[in-house]
Amino acid sequence: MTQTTPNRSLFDRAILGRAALDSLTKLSPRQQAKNPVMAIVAAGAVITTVIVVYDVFTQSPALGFDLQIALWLWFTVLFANFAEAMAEGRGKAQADALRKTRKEMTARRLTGDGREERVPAPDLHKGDLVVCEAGDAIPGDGEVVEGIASVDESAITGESAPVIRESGGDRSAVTGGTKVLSDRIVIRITSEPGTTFIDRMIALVEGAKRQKTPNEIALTILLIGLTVIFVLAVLTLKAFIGYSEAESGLTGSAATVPVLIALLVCLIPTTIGGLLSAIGISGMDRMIQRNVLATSGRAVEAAGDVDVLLLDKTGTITLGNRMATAFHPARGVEKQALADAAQLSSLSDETPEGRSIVVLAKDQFNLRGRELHDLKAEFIPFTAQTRMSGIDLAAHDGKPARSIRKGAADAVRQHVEGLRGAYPPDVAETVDRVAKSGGTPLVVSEGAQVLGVVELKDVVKGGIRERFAQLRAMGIRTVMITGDNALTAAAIAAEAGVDDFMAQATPEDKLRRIRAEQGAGHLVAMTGDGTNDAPALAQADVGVAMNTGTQAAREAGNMVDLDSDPTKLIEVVEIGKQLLMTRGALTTFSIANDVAKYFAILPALFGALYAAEGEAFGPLASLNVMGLASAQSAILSAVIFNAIIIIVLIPLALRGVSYRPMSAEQVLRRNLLVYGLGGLVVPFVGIKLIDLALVALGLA
Amino acid sequence: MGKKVEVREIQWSMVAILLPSACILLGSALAVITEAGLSSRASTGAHGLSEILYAFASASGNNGSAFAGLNANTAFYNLALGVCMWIGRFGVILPVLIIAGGMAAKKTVPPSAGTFPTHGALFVVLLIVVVVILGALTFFPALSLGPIVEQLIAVQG
Repeated sequence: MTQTTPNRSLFDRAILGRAALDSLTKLSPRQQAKNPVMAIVAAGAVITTVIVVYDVFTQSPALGFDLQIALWLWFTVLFANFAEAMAEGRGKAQADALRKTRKEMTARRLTGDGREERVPAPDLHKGDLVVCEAGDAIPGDGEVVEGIASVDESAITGESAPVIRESGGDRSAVTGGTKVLSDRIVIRITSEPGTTFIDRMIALVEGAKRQKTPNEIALTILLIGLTVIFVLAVLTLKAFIGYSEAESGLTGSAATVPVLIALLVCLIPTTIGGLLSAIGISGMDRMIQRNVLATSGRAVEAAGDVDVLLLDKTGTITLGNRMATAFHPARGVEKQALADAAQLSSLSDETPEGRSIVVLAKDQFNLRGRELHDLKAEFIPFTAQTRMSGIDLAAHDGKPARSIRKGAADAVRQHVEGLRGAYPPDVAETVDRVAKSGGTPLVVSEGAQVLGVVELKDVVKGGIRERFAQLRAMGIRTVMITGDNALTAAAIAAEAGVDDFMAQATPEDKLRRIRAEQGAGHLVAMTGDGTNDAPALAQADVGVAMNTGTQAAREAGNMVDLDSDPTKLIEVVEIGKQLLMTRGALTTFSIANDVAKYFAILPALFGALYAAEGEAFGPLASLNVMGLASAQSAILSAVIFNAIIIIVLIPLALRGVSYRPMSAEQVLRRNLLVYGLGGLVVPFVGIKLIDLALVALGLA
Repeated sequence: MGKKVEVREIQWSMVAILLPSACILLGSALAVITEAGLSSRASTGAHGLSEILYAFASASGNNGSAFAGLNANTAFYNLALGVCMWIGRFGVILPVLIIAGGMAAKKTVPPSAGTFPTHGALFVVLLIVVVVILGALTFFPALSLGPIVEQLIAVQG
């Protein structure tokens, strides 16, 4: 469940190569302007380069040093570009695979008079009707309006088993680029050319339509604010240092333009600035790896803030279908008689519940399936009005006619009492007992006599209880949605360990609940597949639509789960949280780094100030706590550390910080320790090491 | 409080942090590069810079005092410190009021285990560290040339 698609290695060679090229093309001013922090670095690099050229012509002794500064500033910019290109690269590889599926397709469009005409797929418009037969590729997104077919959706989902698509119901949506394997269907096209699901997917994974999310905007403002502070600090430093040098009687300033630029670049939050977009893109990418398509980064981020999950019981909390587990006959009725009647009434019942009754009867009493035709039987299907199904057997071969019904307790009671029969109290007791234990009681009657109860049970998925406990630790409330009655729902809710449940919930109830939660300030996530889920999906802050669902549901949600696995919602939330945490952790790290950089560069600048007569160093040289070799090596080391740390942190940005379900306070304490304290200490060590290396290499 | 901090709040709090800091740094820088600023000093060297820095820090921080050594009653200082005082006062009050107004209009979010509690030691430590680091990063270079070097000179005798 965790990983359904083959996971591409973080450092796939093809992606690395392409990212290296992309980091060069991203040097264009238009690209740089998108990221104010890095734009300043790029501007600094340009200015330093001009100074280097000037140095060459004036044969300045500072040439070697200025050149190194310029080179490392360019590397800083390139490394940041590389981080972004790496994050995008994985999406681009996926987009290429998708494009292949969007080959030239022709469609068989139905004209008004019922004839077919062949048109290229891009000429199809909303509302056109097209025919697809076995072997045809489906030319565009649409809804099946006629027929049923098995469809190979592996191009979209990666899942090779074909799926059934049929008109009406909740499985009517088809996606362009998928292939019909059997039968014939008529499809009404629901999207205009260029806006199909595949088109949107390509745009999404390529990050072409990426917009900054609210959280990113807020963080960018913070980073710009910090940048402005540092620009001020460095600009005014020029004045202060000029003053101090004059007062110390020094001639020639240590604060040359390249040095000041180096200081500025080291101080502004380049680490987080350079990795910010990579983190955002990788969040989408991690969703895609889990086969979830988010329509926007905003949705991924909202997932991280969600604190209420609405989960459908069936398929998410329980294994799905209810199974018959026991026959409870009424007093005075043989168990086998009950099993026999229940089996008869279920022979034509194609629902999973019906089939499980047949299986149970066979297991317990060796009752074989019988030919309904021989029994002169008429199957009475389940309807919403009667809430019963059953079978009527005509009198034949000397046997009397029989009329068997099974259904919800109150429905059968009404039915029996309508026939002037009695509803035995022991059956009512059994019904209550079964319901309280989380099962679903089905009451079976023959004529006016109640035979007993068939117990259907929902099997709660293994491990789901622990999952919910984790969610609770993270501060997320889970609400189970079910159509079951309150008793059954309460029992399953208790077994699964959800915080709350909604019994006998209609789609309107869901929508109301979501609005109520949002009104109380919560962010709500839910999954859904049916058309009637669409309003709730649209209302929820994070709506994950199942790919098997209807077109309406898929358009209403802001994410589509290609595996159609409702449990995925929990992972979606975890990815969102991880994304937000990664951003916070790297910001903390980036700013904490500055302390060490001050201790590297400032002593280099101030070392000679107010020196006593005949001494090379003044009092401020004692700020050189790292014992860096020289002023030049100190400045260079800081700049090099600043550039390299971006590369070092790329894997962390792409993968996300390690994540364990804990409360916000625990998470914060842990991350502050790791990234805050780490951010203070690491650069001291790193800069010192680089300084040693520079001296050893004779570069400074 | 149960109010969410969003883009607007961050934007205005950055303004509130930036304006007084800008006043202190830009004002002091202006003083040390102009004759009008320098002539008021009573002492030269590092202490002279300290005098100027203190005058601007105190004016921007709504205190308004100055070292006795600095003759602040000149056209330059009256004007420059006046502007700093004005910005240091309203440049903070207005953004903070804007944030307060926005906050009041916001919905309250009930706290859960996913909410970071703003009482308790962790928050206090975090707040102090942020204040100290942000302040240090802004003023460390200027301060080290003024009071810090003064102290170091004094210690070295």
